[in-house]
Amino acid sequence: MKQHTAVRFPPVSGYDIPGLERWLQRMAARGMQFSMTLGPFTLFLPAEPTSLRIHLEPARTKIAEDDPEIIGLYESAGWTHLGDFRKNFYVFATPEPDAQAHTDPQVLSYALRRFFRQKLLGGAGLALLNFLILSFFYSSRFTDPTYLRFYWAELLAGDLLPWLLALQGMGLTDLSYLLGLFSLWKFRRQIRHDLPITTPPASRLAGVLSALAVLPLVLVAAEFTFRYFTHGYFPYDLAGSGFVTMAEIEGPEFRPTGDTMYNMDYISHGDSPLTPENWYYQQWESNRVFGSGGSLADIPHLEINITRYLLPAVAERRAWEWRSWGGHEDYQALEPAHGLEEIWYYQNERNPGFCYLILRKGGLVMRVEYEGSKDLTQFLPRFAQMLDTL
Amino acid sequence: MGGKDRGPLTEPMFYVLMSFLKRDMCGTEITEFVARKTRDRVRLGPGTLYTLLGKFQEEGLIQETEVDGRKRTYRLTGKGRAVFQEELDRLRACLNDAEEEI
Repeated sequence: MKQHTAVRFPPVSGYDIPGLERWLQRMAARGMQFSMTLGPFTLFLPAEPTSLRIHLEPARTKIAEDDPEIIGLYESAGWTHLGDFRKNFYVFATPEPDAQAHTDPQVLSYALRRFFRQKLLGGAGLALLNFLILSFFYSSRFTDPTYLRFYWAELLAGDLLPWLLALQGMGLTDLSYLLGLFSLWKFRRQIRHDLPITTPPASRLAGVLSALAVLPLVLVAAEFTFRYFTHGYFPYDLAGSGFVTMAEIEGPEFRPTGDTMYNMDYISHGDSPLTPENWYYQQWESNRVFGSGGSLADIPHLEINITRYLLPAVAERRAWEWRSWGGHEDYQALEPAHGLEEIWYYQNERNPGFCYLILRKGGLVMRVEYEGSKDLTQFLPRFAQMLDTL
Repeated sequence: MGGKDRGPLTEPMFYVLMSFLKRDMCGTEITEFVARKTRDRVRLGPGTLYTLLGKFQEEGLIQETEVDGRKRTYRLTGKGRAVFQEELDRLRACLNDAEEEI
């Protein structure tokens, strides 16, 4: 039976040299020979179970390409070069159980101190990565306890999920990195003072944290890449979209503004792997109030916001959040109809022409803001039909 | 470690510097020299030698003269010779001190 490359997470910190060496030796004894690393993963090739002595030599600088000198020196001493571990270490193996790569603890201590300092400086790079990733998705509302408590469905329509995943992934990575540095410091101390070499518990925890960070960071990386190349924005033409317009509600007398921002001829449409699909459209009547500093409230208009959540319960919550803006008691629950599961209607007592309509069908939730001369509830079948086309 | 402000040289450091006194050397030649000179008493692991070559080069004690595939050849610099001499003087003083007491 053909055996394939095995992929594993290291059970210890990526900076715990003796812990990694022991792990690679155990894997070799089980017939899996170290081949290479790929991000957080370690790849093994199938081989005859062998008792090998493995040594990880800290690289002088991050390994861009193998240094022929070190490979030559090790090979002339009977070692085989297996590859590099995360560009930090050269990995060598020998069947000689007593072979020693380092014969001077002071020199090894020097190599470890140098490596430790490099990794400490690498912490600045990690801090910068933290800042870049978290700020890419950050909104001040994410750290507002009131917003988080009462309007979390609205936040989910934004970047809350990718931000939380980034926070989790980077937090775990940072902690794993610090524990890894501690393991490295401890190993150097043991070498320097000729103490027994042990794997500190912090190293095993760092290995677990590093593995746990992978899933959220992969999701965040997918989101980031998708957004980088597409902006997560896919507008399309109003014509043929099936969207209800002011012109349709008000009739041929409606005169839209010439301002294309307020008279959209397209549907603003966003979508990405970690954020809900959403649509936005608005159309306003031509009015002198525009640009004069007057109130927009009385200008006939239609504004449509739609979000599609994965879970209907979240859409239901969003409908609640939208209603809560105006006070729950002001909204009137209408009988579900036309396939719509929730219909909420609000009409302003002082300005009967102004109303809100909140509709939900499964995970789709829509809020319509309208100022005009018609009864918007007469258009419920059209709005339901519109939602069906999305 | 090695040098006035870092304490005495270790044996591997001392012998690696010694190997350059008469001619330029590459890594494998240094290993052979140390093994021959000390009759295998001082062992020079490949990791130790690689680290030392990098360290000495950074500190300006040796300098690279030739690269031929995997083989890199180095020569001792004036500073390297001075560090070696300093260590030799220290060891001589130690020996004299000991002999006076015997």
